[in-house]
Amino acid sequence: MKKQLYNITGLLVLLLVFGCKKSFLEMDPQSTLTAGTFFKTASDIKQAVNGCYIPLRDMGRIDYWLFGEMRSDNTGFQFNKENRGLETQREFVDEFLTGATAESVLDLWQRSYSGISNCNDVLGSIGGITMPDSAKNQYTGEVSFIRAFHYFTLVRQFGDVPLRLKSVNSPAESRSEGRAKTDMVYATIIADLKEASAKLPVKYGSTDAGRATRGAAETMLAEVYMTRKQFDSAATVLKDVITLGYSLQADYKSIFDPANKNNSESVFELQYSGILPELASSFMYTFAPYTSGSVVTGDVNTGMGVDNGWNIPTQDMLDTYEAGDKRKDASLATGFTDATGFVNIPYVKKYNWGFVAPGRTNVNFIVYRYADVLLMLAECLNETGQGAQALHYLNDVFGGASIRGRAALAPITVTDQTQLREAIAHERRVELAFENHRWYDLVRTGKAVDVMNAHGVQEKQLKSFIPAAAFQVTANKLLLPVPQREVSIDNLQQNPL
Amino acid sequence: MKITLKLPVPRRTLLLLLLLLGLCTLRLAAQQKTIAGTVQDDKGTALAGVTVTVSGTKASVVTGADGRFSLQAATGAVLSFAYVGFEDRKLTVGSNTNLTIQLIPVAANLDQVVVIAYGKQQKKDLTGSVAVLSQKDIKNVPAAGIDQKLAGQIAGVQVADVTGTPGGGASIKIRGSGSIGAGDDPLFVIDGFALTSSFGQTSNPLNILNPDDIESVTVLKDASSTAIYGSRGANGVVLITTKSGKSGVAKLDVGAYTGWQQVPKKGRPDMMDARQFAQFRKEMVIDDFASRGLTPTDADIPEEYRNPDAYGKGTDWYNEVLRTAPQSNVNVNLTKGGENVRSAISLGYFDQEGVVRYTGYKRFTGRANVEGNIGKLRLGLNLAPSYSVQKRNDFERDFVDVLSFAQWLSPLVPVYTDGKRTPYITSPGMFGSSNPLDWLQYVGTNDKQFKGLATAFAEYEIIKDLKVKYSINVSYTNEQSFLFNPSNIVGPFAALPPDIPNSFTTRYNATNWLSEALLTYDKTIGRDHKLNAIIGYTAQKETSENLGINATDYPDDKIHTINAAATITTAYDDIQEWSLLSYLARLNYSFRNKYLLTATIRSDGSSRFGSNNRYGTFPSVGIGWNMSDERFLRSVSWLNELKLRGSYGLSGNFNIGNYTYTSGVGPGNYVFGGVLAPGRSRSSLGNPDLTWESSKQWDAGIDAAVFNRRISLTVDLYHRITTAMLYNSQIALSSGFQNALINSGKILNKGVEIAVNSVNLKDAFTWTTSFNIAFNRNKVLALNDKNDPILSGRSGEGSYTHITQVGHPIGEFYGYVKQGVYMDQKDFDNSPKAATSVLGSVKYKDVDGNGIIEPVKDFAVIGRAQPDFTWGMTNSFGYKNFDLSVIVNGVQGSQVFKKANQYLHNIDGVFNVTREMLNRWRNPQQPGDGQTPTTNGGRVLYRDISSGDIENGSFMRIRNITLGYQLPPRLLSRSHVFKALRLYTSVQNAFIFTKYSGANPDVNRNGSSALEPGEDFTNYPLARTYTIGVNCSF
Repeated sequence: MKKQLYNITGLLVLLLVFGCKKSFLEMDPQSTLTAGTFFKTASDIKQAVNGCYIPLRDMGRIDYWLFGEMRSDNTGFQFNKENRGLETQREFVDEFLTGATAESVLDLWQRSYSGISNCNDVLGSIGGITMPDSAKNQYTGEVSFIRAFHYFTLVRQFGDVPLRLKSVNSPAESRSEGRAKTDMVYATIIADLKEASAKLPVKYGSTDAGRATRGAAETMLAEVYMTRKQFDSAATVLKDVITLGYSLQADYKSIFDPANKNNSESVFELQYSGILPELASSFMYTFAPYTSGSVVTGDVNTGMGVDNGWNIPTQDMLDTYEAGDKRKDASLATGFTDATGFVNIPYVKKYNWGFVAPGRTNVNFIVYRYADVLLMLAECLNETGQGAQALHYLNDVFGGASIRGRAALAPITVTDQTQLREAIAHERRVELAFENHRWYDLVRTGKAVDVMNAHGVQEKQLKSFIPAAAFQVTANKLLLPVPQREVSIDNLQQNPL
Repeated sequence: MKITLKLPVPRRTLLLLLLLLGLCTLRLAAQQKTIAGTVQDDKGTALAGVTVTVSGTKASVVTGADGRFSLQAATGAVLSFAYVGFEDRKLTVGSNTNLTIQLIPVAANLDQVVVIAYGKQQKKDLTGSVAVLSQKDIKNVPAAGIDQKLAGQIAGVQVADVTGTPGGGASIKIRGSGSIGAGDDPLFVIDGFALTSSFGQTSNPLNILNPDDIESVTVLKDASSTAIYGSRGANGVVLITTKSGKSGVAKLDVGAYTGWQQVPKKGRPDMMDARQFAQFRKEMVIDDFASRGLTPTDADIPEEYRNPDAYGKGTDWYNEVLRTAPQSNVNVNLTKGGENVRSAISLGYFDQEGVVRYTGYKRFTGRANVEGNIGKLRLGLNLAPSYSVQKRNDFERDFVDVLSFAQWLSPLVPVYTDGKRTPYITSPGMFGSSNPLDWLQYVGTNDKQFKGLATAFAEYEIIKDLKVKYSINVSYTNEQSFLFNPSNIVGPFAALPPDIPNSFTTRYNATNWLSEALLTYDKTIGRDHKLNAIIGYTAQKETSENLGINATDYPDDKIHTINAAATITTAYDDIQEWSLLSYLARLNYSFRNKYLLTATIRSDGSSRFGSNNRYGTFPSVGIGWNMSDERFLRSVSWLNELKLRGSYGLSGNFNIGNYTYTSGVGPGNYVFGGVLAPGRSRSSLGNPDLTWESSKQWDAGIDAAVFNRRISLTVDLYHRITTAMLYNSQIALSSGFQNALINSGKILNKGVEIAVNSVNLKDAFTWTTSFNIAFNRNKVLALNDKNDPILSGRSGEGSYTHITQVGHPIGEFYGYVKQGVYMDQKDFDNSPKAATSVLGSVKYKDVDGNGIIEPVKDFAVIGRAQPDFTWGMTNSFGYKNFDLSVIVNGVQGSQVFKKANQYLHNIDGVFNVTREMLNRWRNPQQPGDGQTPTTNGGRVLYRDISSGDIENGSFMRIRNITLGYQLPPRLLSRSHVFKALRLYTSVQNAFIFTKYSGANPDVNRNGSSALEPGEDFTNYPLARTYTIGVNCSF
């Protein structure tokens, strides 16, 4: 009996000893990586850098045109009487009725900071990883450029914003130190862009086309300086950009042709591909009137509804083009023809190049291009009293093409600073129409309040559906409200109404 | 377990006596005589089928229909009488050869042995709050799962019938909701095997078990009984014991029922008929023109709406998708056993067609329990495979599922056109979809599941009173589902067909094993000290793999398998694992059967928690005092039992994701030079400090029985504080992440539970009542460092719907306070407005007083889902061979957020709406009911949540009425086949009494968290089920 007892007890002890191996409780996920195992090698960093571009592409689908273009006088929306689902999210952005709880504003904020976090993860870990200097420089440059891109969007839309420059590794570190002053945000942007300009290559091989380049960083830096009214500094960097080998496309329309991606005029463009749904663009669909069926898109398998009929050119925009401007027909259509005849609803057609599969297009979205660079340079020169030089770039012969209506229009000859300023602004509006520059240009040049109020009066006359409270534009309304969620959770101060 | 008899002679003497008797028996073995007798129940009714055995021999007989038996036994032999549902009884043969033996039903017996964690205990010795149900309490309820059968039966166990989906699960909460982010489902333990279970409204992990195989259910509520489950015990524990073989003759039981189910008329959506809807749409145009001072011409009104009187009732799509559906169940149970080997085998088949067309659930279950002993070794094996097929649709998915669009589709369109189903349903300016009947028939999901449970154990008595038991338990699940979406059928909001055919396939398999070693010491020392101690070591691990494939670009609808698809749009494959390593110990001690002590401790190590906090220890202590055994109360003849109990302990909740302590890195691709460039980035924020939430609970209780046990009462008071709550907290977006799991906050649940059992009549006519009622109060004591409220939920407009704040219950409804509509220009001019408000549009309270109505800023607490109390009552009547039982349960003081108003009240004109909208504001002269706004502009605010969407959710439901008839023994005895035969008929969900306008106030939105309780969003309707059934024994 006793012996048995010992045997059994011994067995039990053995079981306890063998059973409690510590590793039994240590389990790493088998189908996902963790931060503990990633960010360790050059290959990891390369993938993480690629990952930094993704939020830009995703935001290009809605956020950038919604807040950069549709908020301006260039575009509005087609009133969808049946489906009011996106009234508060999108229509209100156009109508200056957006409140602090709008999801569209929250999305802009959230996606921007998610992108910034990706950049911080790379910048925080790249230092300790062994790889060739050229790669390290390129990666650092790319990611610095992307981080500046996000902050430049945020600071122009919200004003003071939290400045997050380090990886957050636990919930305890999640709260920011509050909204950093605009000046501080710009200082960070400028530092990042200078770093990027210094470290990025001028050009990549064809397989890397689409990565940020020195030209991209410098162009953005110039726009930052111009936003800060530092036209001299802007002119200096822009003059460097024009030495980098860019040239204008002779045919305006072909700039946006997916068969001509990353062409000689392109400085930085968001890369899309129709091969997979997550990679594809769909601007053609989003900007087509929702009542156009498959007439505009040519795609019978993709239904139209609440997600269509956005970024519709306004009457004011249609009237802006001078007679004979070839860019008008390349950029927009005044309506479409279906079984009922001609339907007078204009739409943006710059990005209409057919589809690869239902709902998927192959079209890229250009952020900066050489024509923009030349127009910026002209503006800087005019602002610094060098009107004659400005005209040289405006009526430029670089690459043998003229910007002005792509050769169809007479050159600009005014030299009076104010008149030239207007001429350049007009040129920017039509040349860069629907490329998400108009809102920022209006704000940067101090014209937003006047232009948008006048635009509101016109819109209300033309469109009975616009509420009386719409388009009451004041200086405060030029900044978006900080998302209410962040006011409470991140302890942030709200913008004045 | 031992039954301690109160004997006048000292125990040692008795043993000697027994020994002598035994010797005598041996010697006098030849001196057999015929013993005859009658076995009766406590009311004097003859019991047929009672097994009478002469202990220590193989001699055994069964009583006849008249309860009589006769066998050969010697004087001094011990006869044992065993019958299911009754306490075993032993009797020593004396001079009397014609005996009358009374057996006492189990429930009435104080010495009842109940299953507790890691063992059994006499009810009398319990110190914790433990409730027990036996098969007879639940047998009449026709349901696939045990969960639905528990409703209304136990105080403090709130079972909500949230869905009627065949094969779906109920929501079970024990003592309120003690967690806001880690789930509040209790832990389910089947025959000692703790299952991982997360309930879904369309899937129910308890479907693994045929409820007919269940012998008893024990619910552990207080910490002294749950703390031994450590990091998993905080939400309470439900122990399920299945039937096992018993010594005695072979017994074959067959049970079967069949019936039909119908959706009651009450609570079906009250939508406009065709004429009303055409009129509504016509007036919409008229009112729109009038608001601009114009009058429309015929051309301005779509042709379909110009002449409403041309329509009659039109189509009620909701009624069209419903049907009367059959439900049936067959169960065969064979038990056989001798002294050394006992076995039980059961087979079951359950078949429920859904009350929504083309849905249903079928299940085959099998179970084999074998147990045997060789000397001091006891071995057992238990196998329980089950296979089920569920046909479902994408139910309970906001307003896009078929039951929703069957409410809002145009009533103008007929179901059939030219003898065929109308393919696409829409009217001008409305959302459309394919015919709901086509959608149900062709776009359903077919889900097949195989589940198996296998357990094996060996128990060895090392020395007297000391046993070691080792068991290995394995559960295996294999599930596959498939959905094919053909080209000619589209869902809501989609363009007209044809669509590109696509499919969705899932494969899931999971293995969970538990290895457990227990050492039990059970000793009675002298007369006074009774000791039961266990120590144990357990290791458990689960591995699961979940694979899903979306495939599209099928060339046509002919072949559905994935190989026919040209494109795989998405494919995922996820492997998840967790492990748990534990040590546990418990001591039960009683002194003179009066003073009771229970102490437990468990130490858990879990793979789910951060390396900084991987191990936790959970102690508890309970004490009890059987006061009625004290000398000073023994003379009180009417008092049969009085026990005071008290307990305090700590338990945990580990229900979070498996790897949440670490930041995940997820894939994402970009394109450079037109070529895919793989990328990765962090997809979640980890928390290395993550640990379980812990729950400290005290409980004080009284058990009493009076008047010959005709009335028994149990009252419990409890107070539970959950700290370090696990929840997915919203965090500052500037961190780059939206939320992260944290341990934070503190929640209090306190309450009173009362259960009364009463034998009202016990003569020819019998009547018993069991009643329970529970009051739970839920209060948030702390949330986070700043105690910011947690806003949660999402309305149709993207605003929050619930708020959780300190000093309040979890998840109160949060929205606008509705004041009516802007009745006239004066009202409009003088009231705060939103940007888009117009005359006649909805008028809300300006909560922040800034003159502008805005979401969130003008939100207030507008109600709560938590009830004041829940209750249940079962009345059982008997007369001669008839029995009748009625189960009623109710919830009082709760509120429901009717989220379906998002479309039921959507006045945009794109949906059909309820008839309430007929009373809308049209102009100051026709202001309607003053609550329903105009169809002119300003509709956006009306789509947000407001106090107008909150309704009283109190109800009383007659859950089940069953009438049975037990065939008299004299009829049966002639057949020589049946030992017992009972016929019965029942109605499940017979009636509901409620003010709620929807069908089911006991509802919750599918997939909602504890932070968002009480939402009603078109769940699968609950059916009323009529059944007839038979139970027989052979």
